[in-house]
Amino acid sequence: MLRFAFATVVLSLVGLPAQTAPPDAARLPALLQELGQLDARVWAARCEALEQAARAQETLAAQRRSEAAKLLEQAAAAEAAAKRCRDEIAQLRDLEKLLRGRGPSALPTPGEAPTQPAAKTPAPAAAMVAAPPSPPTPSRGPAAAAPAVATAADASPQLVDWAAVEPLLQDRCSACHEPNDKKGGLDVTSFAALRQGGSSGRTLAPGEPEQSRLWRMVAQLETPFMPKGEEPLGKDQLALLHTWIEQGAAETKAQARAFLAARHAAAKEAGPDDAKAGPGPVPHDLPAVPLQRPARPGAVKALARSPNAALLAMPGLQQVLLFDATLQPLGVLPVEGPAVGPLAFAHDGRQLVVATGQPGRSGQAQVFDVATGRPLGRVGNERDVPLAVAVHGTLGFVALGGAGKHANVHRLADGQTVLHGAHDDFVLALQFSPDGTLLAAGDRGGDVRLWDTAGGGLLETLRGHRGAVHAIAFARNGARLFTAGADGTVRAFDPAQGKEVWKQAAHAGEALGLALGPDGRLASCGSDGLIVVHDAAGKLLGKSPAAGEWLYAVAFGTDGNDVFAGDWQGRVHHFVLGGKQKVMDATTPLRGGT
Amino acid sequence: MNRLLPRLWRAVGLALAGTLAAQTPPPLRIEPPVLQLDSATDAVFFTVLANAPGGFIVDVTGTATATLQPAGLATLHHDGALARLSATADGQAELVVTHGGHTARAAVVVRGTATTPAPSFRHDVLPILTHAGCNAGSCHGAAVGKNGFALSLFAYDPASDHRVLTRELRGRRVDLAAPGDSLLLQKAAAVVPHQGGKRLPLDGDDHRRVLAWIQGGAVDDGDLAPALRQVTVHPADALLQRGRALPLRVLAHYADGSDRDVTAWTLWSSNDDGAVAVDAAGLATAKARGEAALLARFGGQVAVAVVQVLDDDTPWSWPATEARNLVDHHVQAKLQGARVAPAALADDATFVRRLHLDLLGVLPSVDTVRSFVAEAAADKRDRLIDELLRRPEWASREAMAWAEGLRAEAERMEPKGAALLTAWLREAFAAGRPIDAIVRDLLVADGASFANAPANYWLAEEPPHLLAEHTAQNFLGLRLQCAQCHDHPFENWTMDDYYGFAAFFAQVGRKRAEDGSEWIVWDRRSGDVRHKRSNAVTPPRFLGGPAAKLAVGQDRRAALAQWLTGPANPWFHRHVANRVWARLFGRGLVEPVDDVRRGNPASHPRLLDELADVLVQAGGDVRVLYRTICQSRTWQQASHPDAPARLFAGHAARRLSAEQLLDAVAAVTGVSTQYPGLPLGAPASAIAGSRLDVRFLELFGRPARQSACSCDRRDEPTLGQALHLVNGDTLATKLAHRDGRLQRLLAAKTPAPAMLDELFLAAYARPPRAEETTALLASLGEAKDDAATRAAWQDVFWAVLNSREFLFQH
Repeated sequence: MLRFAFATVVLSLVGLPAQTAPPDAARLPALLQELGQLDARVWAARCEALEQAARAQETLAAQRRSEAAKLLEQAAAAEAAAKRCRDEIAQLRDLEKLLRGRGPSALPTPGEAPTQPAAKTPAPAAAMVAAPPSPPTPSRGPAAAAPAVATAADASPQLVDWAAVEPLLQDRCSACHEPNDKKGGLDVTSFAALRQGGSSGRTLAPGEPEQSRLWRMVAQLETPFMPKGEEPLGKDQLALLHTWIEQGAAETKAQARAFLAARHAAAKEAGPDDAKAGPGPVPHDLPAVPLQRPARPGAVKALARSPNAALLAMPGLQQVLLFDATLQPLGVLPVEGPAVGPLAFAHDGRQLVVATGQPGRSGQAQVFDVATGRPLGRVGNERDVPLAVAVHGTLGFVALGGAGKHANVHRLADGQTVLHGAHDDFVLALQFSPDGTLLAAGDRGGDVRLWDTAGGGLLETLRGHRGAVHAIAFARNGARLFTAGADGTVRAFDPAQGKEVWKQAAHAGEALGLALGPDGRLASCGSDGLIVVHDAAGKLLGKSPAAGEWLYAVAFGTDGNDVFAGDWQGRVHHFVLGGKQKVMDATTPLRGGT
Repeated sequence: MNRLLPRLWRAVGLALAGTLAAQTPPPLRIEPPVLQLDSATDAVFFTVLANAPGGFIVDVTGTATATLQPAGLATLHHDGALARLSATADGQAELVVTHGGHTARAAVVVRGTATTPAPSFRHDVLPILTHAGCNAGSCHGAAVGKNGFALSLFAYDPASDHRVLTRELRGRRVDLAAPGDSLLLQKAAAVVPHQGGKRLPLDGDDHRRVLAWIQGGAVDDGDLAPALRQVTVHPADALLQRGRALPLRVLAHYADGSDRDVTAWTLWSSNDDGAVAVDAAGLATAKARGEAALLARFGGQVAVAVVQVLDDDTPWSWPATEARNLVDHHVQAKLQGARVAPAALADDATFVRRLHLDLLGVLPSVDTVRSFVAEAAADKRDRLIDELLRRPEWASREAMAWAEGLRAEAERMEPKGAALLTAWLREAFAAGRPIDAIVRDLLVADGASFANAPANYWLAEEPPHLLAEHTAQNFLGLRLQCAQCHDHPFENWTMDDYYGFAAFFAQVGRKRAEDGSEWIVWDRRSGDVRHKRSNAVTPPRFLGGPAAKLAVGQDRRAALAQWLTGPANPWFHRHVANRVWARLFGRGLVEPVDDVRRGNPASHPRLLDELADVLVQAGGDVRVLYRTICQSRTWQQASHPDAPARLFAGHAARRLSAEQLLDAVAAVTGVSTQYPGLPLGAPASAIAGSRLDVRFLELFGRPARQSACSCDRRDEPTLGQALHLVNGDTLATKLAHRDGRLQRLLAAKTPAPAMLDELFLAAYARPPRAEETTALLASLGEAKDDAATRAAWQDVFWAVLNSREFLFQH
C-alpha cells in the first residue's frame, strides 16, 4: 500500500492510464506487479538519490575519522612531551642529589659560577638551573655584577622549596583543596596543580607574596580568609609560606636559588635610576661583512634598542643591521636563513635574538652575543619564519611564536622545549618578564597569555584588545605589562592581578609597535603613520606628524624625547618630541659598508 | 537584454511570415569586430567565423587567410587556430580575412605605442588572483579567510586587498627587498607548502606579472587606474552543431576608451553544462541539443554569450501551426530554431479543467464541463477565459499569490492584519485596479495597520536593508542579498547599489498602537543607513540609476514608489508579466521568477519585453495579461512530457498546489472543508496567512511565508503526502460523509454507469473511456447489500482521488 501510494504521488508522468482498481487486499498483488513495471524509473531515481546521500555521509564519516586520528596523534605527542618534561625533572633531581652528595663545593653557589659561556659547560642543564648564568665577558660591561649577585645570594641562607611547604599545605589546606573536591578550583596536593591556580586565576605570584592570592587569604589580608572557618596559620607557618613565595614559589632549592639570582641581577640592572645601572654591551670587533644592499629596501619589520646601551638593531637582507643611538652604523651581523624577521634584545642587553628561516617552510630563532657579535646558537623548529621572538639571557630562555599558533620557549643551551603555549591564532608578540618567570604572548585573536616558564602552565589570559595584539613590553620592575594592538590602543596591565590598568586610543588605525624608554616612557607607532609618546601612567606626551606609511616598529634613541620608527618602504622616521621629524633611508648611513 | 536579441533571429535561420523577417548573417565575419590596441605591449586575439548551411557558426580561424592593410602598424601572429595582433606603431589599418571565397574586414586601431604600462594592481594583479581562484569563497575569499589570510570575495574591495597583501603581518607576504622570495609568490607557486596547491606556476606569465608588480614597489594604482566600464563577449550568440567547439573572447572596456583582451583571466560558467560546456580558456563545446547561457566574469562585471546547439544540418520541416498572438509568434520562432514540433491543441475537457485550475484554483463543476463541451461556438474558449477572469475566485487566487511574497502572516502582522491585507488585495484585483497602483499604495502606506490595510506591507521586515531586499525581490525579481556584505559575484550589483537602495527604507517608523496588537506606520523624516564597508551615511539611490533628488522632508518611499513602477524602471512590468506567465505555465520565462540577472537570461527575452508592453498598454490590468496568454495556442497545447521545459513546446503537467488539491478533493466528494473563521464552502485560497492549522495544506507544501523567495512554496512529493492521501482522514471522512456526492448518488439509486460518468467529469472533466467503464464496473461486482455496494464505490472514489490524472494539472 505504501509503495503504491508513494509512486502515485511521485510519478509526474501523464497520459498513462489512471490507476482505477479499488485497493482491497485481494487485488494488491496485481497492483504491485503493475506498479513494478510502471514505476521502475521512479524507483531507480529514488534509489540513486539515496545512494548519493549514503555516499555523502560516508565521505563525511571518513573525514571525521581522519580528524579524530589527527587529534589522537596530537594527544599522544602532548603526552610524550609531558613525559619528557617529567624525565628531565627526575634527571635534574638526581643530578642535584649527586652534586649535594659530593659536598658543598660541588654545588656551585652563584658567586662561584664558572665564567665560560653556558653552552660550553659540560653539564649544561645543571649549570643553567643550579647557577645563575654567567655574564659574558663584556667589553665595557658591568664587571661588578657577578660579586653583587653572589652577595645577594649569600644573604638568603634558608632556601625554601616545595618539599618544605608541602606538609603545611597538606595539613591545613588539602582537606578542601584536593583533586576530588577542589574547592574554588584549587588543588594544593601537587606543585604543578598549585602553580596552575584556582578557578579565579593564579594563586601565586612568584616573588611577590603580597600579590599572591594564597598569601593574602592565609595572612587575612583578603577575604575569604583561609583556612575557612578554622584557626589562622601560625606565625612560623606564615613566615615559611612568605619566604617560599618570595623565593619564587619554586619546586626545588636550585630553582629558588636561580630565581633569586635572576631577580637580583634584574633589580641591579633595572634599578630605580637608569643612570646608575651599568651600561650594557655594545659590539666591538665585529666581523667585516659587506652590507647586503637590495635594489629596493625591504620593510623595517622590527627595530629594537638595547635596554641599557646606545645600540639599535633592525633586520636587513640576511643580516642584522646595528646602529648607535643616533642611527650611525656600527656594523652588520650575518644571519643564517634567507629571511630575517623580528628581533629583540634581552633585558640585560647582552643577547640579541633574531627570527630567521624560509617563509612558509622553516623558522628558528638565532641568538647573538651582543658584545662580540658571535652567534650563540639557534633554537626552534617552526614551519614558518617566527612572527615574534624574545630572549631571557640570565635564564638562557628563547621564546618564539607565529603562524604555528603557539608560544614556545626553548633552552638555548640544548634546544630543549621548556614551554609549549598553545594559542588560538597567530602569535604576534612575545616578551619575558624581567625575572623570566613569565612569558607574555600576544596573538591575533586579541589574547595576551601569561605562561609560567617554570611550570609550563597558563597562568592568566589578559583580555581587552579587540583584534590582534602586535607588541608587548614589560616595565623594568616587571610590575606592568604594556601592549599595542590592531584596535589602535596602547594598554597597561598589572600582570600579577591580571587586570587592565589603563588604555589609550593612541592610533587611528592599528597600533603596531611599542617601545619602553627612560622614566617608563612608552612610544608607539601604527598604520596611521604616527609616533605617539605616553608616560608610564598613560598620559599623552606628544604625537609626531603622519608619516604617510605604515610604521611597524619604534625605538628610543639618545633620550626619552628621541624616537625612531621604521616603515613599510624601508625608511626610518626620526621624531624628536617638541622638535622636528626627519625621514631617512635606514640603509643610507651604511653605504660604503663596514 | 536587447543587445542579445539579434542572435535569436540569426539562430532561427528561417523567416516567419509577416513581422518575423530573419536577418541573414554575413557569410564570414571577424570577432571582435573592432580590434583596438592601446599600448606597446597590448595584443588582441581574434576569431574568424563562417556561416555554414543550416545557420551554424563554424570557427575557420585556422584555415582563413589574414592580412593587415596597410601592414606595419601591428604584427599578425597566425599560428594554427589562434590568431593575434600585437601593437607596433600608432595608426589605423584594416584586417582582411578571406575564406571559402568570402572576405571579411575589421577595423584595427593602434595607439599609445609610446608607452609600456607597468603591471597594475587593479587591472593585472587582482584579475590574476581572481582567475587563479585565490579569492574564491572556498579559499581566501571566505569571510574569515583561510589560514589567517583573507582577501575580499572576487576582489570587490581592492583597497583592502592591497592592504592585506602588502602591509598586514609586517609585510610578510610581499618582500620588496627580495621580490622573488615573497610569500605570495612562493605559496601560489607551491614552492613552499600551500594547501591551495599550485596556482601561479613559477614559469607562467601570471607569476611574472605579479613579480614585476612587486619589483615595481607593489603600489596600488587605485584611482589612477581607469575604471572598468563594461565587459563584452565575442561572439555574444551562436548556433553550433553538436560536437563543434567555438572559442569565445572577452574584452574589458575602460573609462579612458581603451580596451583589453582579458579572456585569459575570465571566469566562465554555463547554466547548462549538459548542452554547452565552457572551459577555463573560454572554449565553448556543443555537447547536446539545447541552449545555454555562458556567463563570463571579469573584474566584478559579467557578460553573457548564448549558445544554441542543434544535432545536424539535415533539412527539417516545421509543421504548419496556427500562431494566434505574440505569445505564439515568439514561442514558435524558438521552437523552429530548436527544431522541435509543438504539441497538438488540447481538447475541450483538458482546456476547461486547466483553465479553472489556473485562473480560479478549483475544478470545473460537472455541469460546467458538460455545457462547455457541448457548446459549438467557435469563440467559446475566449469567452470562458473572460468569464472566469471576472469571477471572485480569480481575485482571491491572485491575492493569495501576492500575499505569499508579501509575507502576510499572523506572526508579523497579527491575524487581523494579515487578513485585512489579503482582503484588500482581493478587492483591488477584483476591481481591476492596476498593479502599479496597488504596488504604489503598498509602498507609501502609512497609519494604523488595521485601519489602513496596505500599511501591513511595512511589517513584513524591520531593518531598512531587509525591507529593501524584500521589495526588490517581490516587485523587481532581483535578489540583492549578496551585495549586503560584498559586491554581487554573479551580477553587477555592488555594495554601493545595495546601501543606496536600502536608504529609501531608512525612515520608516513603526510602533505598537495602544491596543497592543495593531501597528502604526509612519514616515519619521529622519534616519539613514550606513554602508557596511565605509560606515558612511549612504544617500538614497535608485538601483542601477541616479541618486534620488529629494526635497527636504520628502517621503523617500514616495520617490521610490514613483521610480519603481515608472517607465524608467526596466524590471517592474517585465517582472509582473513573468510572474503571471509562471502561474500559467508552472515556470517563468525567467526561472526562478525572483532571480533576474544576466547569468539567468529569459528563455524568450523579446516575448517578455512585449508582454511587459501589453501590461503597460493595458494600464496595469493584469487580467489582460492572463487573457493574452490563455488565448494563445501555446497555453492551450496538450501536455508534452518530453520537450525541454524552456521551450514551452507543450503543456508541462504539474501537481495541484496544496490549496487546489484540498479544494478539488472537496469538489469531487461534494464535502467542503470548514476552515476556521471562514464560511463553509470558502476555497482554501481565501485563507489569509499561513498560521491556520490545516495539516493537509502543510503537508502539500503551503509556504510558511517566512521569506519573499518563490522557493518558499514546495512542490516536491513526500512520503507524508502519499500516506495522507492513502490512509489520512481527509479522504476517509469526506468519502463517508452522509451529505457527500457518493451518498447522494446512491440515495438517488443512480445507475452505476451514470455514477461513473459523474465521478469522472467531476475529477477529470471528462467521461470515462469504454475500457475504464468495463474494468471499474467489473471490479464493483455483484454487491450483496447496500453496505457492500457503498464500500465498493468508496474504493472507486478513493482510487480516482489517488490517481495521477486527478493529482495533476495537465
